[in-house]
Amino acid sequence: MVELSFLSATGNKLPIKIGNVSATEVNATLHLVAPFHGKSTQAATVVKREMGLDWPGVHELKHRGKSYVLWFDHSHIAVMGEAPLAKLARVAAVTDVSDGWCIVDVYGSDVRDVLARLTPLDIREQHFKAGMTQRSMIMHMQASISCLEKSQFRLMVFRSMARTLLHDLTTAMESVAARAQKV
Amino acid sequence: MRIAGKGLIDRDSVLNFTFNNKLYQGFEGDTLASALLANDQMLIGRSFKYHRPRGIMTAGSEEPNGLVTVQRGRTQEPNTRATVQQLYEGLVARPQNAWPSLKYDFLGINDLLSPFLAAGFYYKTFMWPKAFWERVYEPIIRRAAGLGELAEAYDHDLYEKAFAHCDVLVIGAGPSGLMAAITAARAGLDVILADESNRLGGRLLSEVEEVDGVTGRIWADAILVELARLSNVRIMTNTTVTGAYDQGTYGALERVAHHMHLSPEGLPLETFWRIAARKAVLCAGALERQIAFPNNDRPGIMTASAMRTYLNRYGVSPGQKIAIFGNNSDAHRTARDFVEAGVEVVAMIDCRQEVLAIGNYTVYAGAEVVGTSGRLGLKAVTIRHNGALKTIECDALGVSGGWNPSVHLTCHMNGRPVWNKDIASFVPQDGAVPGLSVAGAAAGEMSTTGALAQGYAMAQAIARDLGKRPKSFDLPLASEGPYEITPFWDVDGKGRAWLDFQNDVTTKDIKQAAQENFRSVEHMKRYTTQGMATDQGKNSNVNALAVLADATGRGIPETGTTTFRPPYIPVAMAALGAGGHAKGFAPERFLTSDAATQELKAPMIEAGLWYRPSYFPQLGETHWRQSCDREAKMVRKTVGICDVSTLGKIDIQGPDAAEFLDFLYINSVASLKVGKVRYGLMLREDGHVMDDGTCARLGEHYYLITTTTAAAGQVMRHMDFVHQALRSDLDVSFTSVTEHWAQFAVAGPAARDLLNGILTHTITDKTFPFMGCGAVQVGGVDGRLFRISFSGEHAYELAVPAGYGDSLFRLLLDQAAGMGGGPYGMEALNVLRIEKGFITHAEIDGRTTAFDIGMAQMISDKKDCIGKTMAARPGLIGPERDQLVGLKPVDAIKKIIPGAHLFETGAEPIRQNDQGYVTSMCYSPTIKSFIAQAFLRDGRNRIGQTIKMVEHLSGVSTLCEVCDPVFFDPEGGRLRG
Repeated sequence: MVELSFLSATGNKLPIKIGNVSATEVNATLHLVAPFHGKSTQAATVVKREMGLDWPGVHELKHRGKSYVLWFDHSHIAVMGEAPLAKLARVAAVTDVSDGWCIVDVYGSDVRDVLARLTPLDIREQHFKAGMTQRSMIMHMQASISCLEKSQFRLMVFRSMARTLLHDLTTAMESVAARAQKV
Repeated sequence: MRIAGKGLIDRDSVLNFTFNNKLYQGFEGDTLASALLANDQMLIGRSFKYHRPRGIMTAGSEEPNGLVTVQRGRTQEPNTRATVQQLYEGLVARPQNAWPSLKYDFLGINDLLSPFLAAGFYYKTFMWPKAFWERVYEPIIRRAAGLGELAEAYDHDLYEKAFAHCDVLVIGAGPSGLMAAITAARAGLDVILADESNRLGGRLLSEVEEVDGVTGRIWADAILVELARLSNVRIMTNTTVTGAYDQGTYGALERVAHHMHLSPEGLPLETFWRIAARKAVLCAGALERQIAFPNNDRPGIMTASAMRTYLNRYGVSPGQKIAIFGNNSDAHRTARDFVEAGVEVVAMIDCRQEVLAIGNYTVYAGAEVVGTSGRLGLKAVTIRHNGALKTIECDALGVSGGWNPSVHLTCHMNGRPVWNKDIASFVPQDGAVPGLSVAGAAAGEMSTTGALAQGYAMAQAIARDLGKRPKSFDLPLASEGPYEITPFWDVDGKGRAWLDFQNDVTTKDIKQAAQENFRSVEHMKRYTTQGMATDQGKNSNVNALAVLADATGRGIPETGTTTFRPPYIPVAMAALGAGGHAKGFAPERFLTSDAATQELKAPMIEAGLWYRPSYFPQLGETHWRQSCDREAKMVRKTVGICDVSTLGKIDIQGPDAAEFLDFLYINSVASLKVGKVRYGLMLREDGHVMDDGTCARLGEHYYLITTTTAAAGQVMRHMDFVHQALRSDLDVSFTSVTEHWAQFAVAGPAARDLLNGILTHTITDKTFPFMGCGAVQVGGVDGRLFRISFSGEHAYELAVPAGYGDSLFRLLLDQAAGMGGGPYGMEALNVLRIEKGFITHAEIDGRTTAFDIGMAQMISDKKDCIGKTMAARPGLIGPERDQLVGLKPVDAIKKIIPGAHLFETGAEPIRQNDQGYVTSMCYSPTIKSFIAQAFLRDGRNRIGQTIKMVEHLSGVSTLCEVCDPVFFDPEGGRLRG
């Protein structure tokens, strides 16, 4: 009997903390869900009944415990964590992309300053609040960026670009930390 | 010299610095310019063309003369303006454009030759003899050209880019900017206040005047304290807004670490900001202009306002005997301030007839400066007063020709400023940049009271515009400061009068340009180079066009200005391209097998953004061909493992998935059975091949298609377009799963045996026939197996979730090693597919059709598909097309070169005789010959003929036999197992 071992997208290079910003990797199941024609209500009912969450509107992220649903693109939402996949698959295209994304949570009081060096999004508190999710760029990479709490964001890029994400993220974190030391 | 009791410097904090290899001392709060002036170092550099001795002329970023090279560790930064370089302990600066020394500069000889070096001389002089251009003139010019030198070493400095957003961007923190910022902030707007100085207050720091009953500096500090306390305000010091762009976006350069000897690890030298603002207020103030009089460029001659800045902000007098020359009331403030500071003011020379002194100094009304003396520093000025010449000894002369509002940003979207004759200056045009309003001196409002009122009014209007209800409050009282000016641009007299100090353009040059019919201001600029130096004409544009207007008999408004373009100040390319060097250039995509591949020391090649192994060298192999040949033979003989995860994988689901795919592919997908895979081809709308790949039917309404590595994104985009724009009626959904699955080719006669050693359930030819697919388990992990082959061998592709990719790859290698197999890289993969006549994007390069590659028969006549009609166009099918063929050299050791062109054997190898081209080539260890794929005119009908390959770059010519593109196992017996 052969055995396969699991390796996270970053290759266990996280967590790191630079200045007052930390980054940790999130390993969670991730499925993209796109309701079939005329099945949006049923799909939303499944999510509500089984997960206790409303179907996320554009730029919305909702969560309960470690289960998240978030808007992902014009046709998909993403479901992270425990989810009623079989029931959803009756009314929607459900695709497992758990290993396809490098998911990193960044948090700390200067986290928005770090993000200001990585993404053109308006990351001011009143414009990117907890419960919001957006698709944009992290440097050259297309990304999903969500605000989990006032000072905590979830970044997602393609798994193959994990090293580039870590490079770009640490460069920005070092810059922000260095500014705090600047006299 | 320092003036006791004056300035905002910290005299308790002494800073040592070096200029021109000499040690000096300054204070915290100094700029390099103020510290040099305090040390009576008037000579700072040499001018660009004539190498004239030059000193500090201004106190801001517009400085044309005081350019130095700052040395920082291994790097050096040329053309640093001494006027904006904050002093720090250990600063090392040196003059530039002078050899062998600043005092005795060899190229000062240019000044003596100036009669021969007037504007446009190079256009005339270097025309003959023609042969001299490359051998004589150009080398000399190149040696003389350029200002400052780079370190010519790797730049270790960090630069970064960043984004900021706000309701209101206030540009400039003088009286109008501070007022606009505090008004907007009090109204609850999100404010960014950016100023290029390290200390905010603008002219309030340079002037002796009261605001709200206290000195301007104290008022400014109080406003700043309030601003700093507000969470909706961001203050950006050392930040110059460099450009105004579409949609309320502004570029801004922040000098982060230029004032630090040692900066914390990771701190960038500069940050280039993109600021997105709903509204902006330009409060950039105004720049004082010169008057062109003979020899007006000597060290010691500066703007009158700069003199006040050095006195009032830095506690420095640029001389012991001060003279001032002006045409406006503002110049008198300099005389007044220096007298009050106890410095001797020897003359206030005012070209206006009716002048009132505002202090105890001698006024020469209706006078003008007609000459100066002093080789390395001003010694005296000669004035014409009441018809007589008079020489006045002085070592510093402040000049004020009036103020030019800083209209630059308002012109960055092609707006043109308008002439305001009351202040003899250009002022911004309303609405020149959408969302940008202008207040204070930048708008032509020269009094402090007016500036405060405008800043307030603009911010109030913006607040209302953005839905706020701002409370009104009383404006602080300030000086009315009437600004009276009589336009006066240049003085007639013997000797050259400088306009553009940096590029050495004189009034004579402008007049000559006009004389030679370069009457347009844009032509004059290019002919004389006026305004083309790093100060971009901030100090000379208006004066130059006034002189041009006079020379061409037109008014200033009719003459117009040149075009103001971003950036407002020089910006390092490193800042503009920040984050884009080294690892920041582009994302790197790594396979899950990357670590194991690196351990095997495989050289990597970049394919798209992916890093893929080229080959896996073994002990004793010294050339890639040895490894490649071995790997290709290994696959044909036993089994090889190759990571093919980079191929695009798209998951397609929905009741209409089959109909959707039928519309995309030229061949039928609907007829594909569950558990089977089919090769497919997609066309573009224009009928040319877009991509090829496989389509696997995983369920009744569930497909997985693969794309080539290069076209993965393109195919996904194409599918989105087709679904959204052409067939939105189809109930289908698709998702990229390229990154989710790590997929490995297991190819070779022993492939099935290998797999049966690791799969939970044994596979057979029956359960997994050729072009079959299905779910499998390996090591308890759910995977997918596809019996497809890109090598022509009995082969599979095994996919598992990417988290298990590294582990599976190592497992496959272990298994293969025990069977005499191993990994193979891109080189061997290429050999195997060329032997089999399989295509890649070398063949489907965007210009070829299904007909060209011999797949026209795949276009189903039972259905429509994208590109079908267009592919049938005349000209895209028929014997006139270049068609895919195989090539073999007649002499087996002769080379075939990709990119080479094909000609009839007896034809001259010229363009007109072109018969096609080679797309791919390899040495086949199986065929034991070089083999190639090529497109040949009517190729399929020419199999068996001999054709000549000519590679013009290397001159290689090879006779080739035209073959069927399938060299190996044409019946496909091996891949069917």
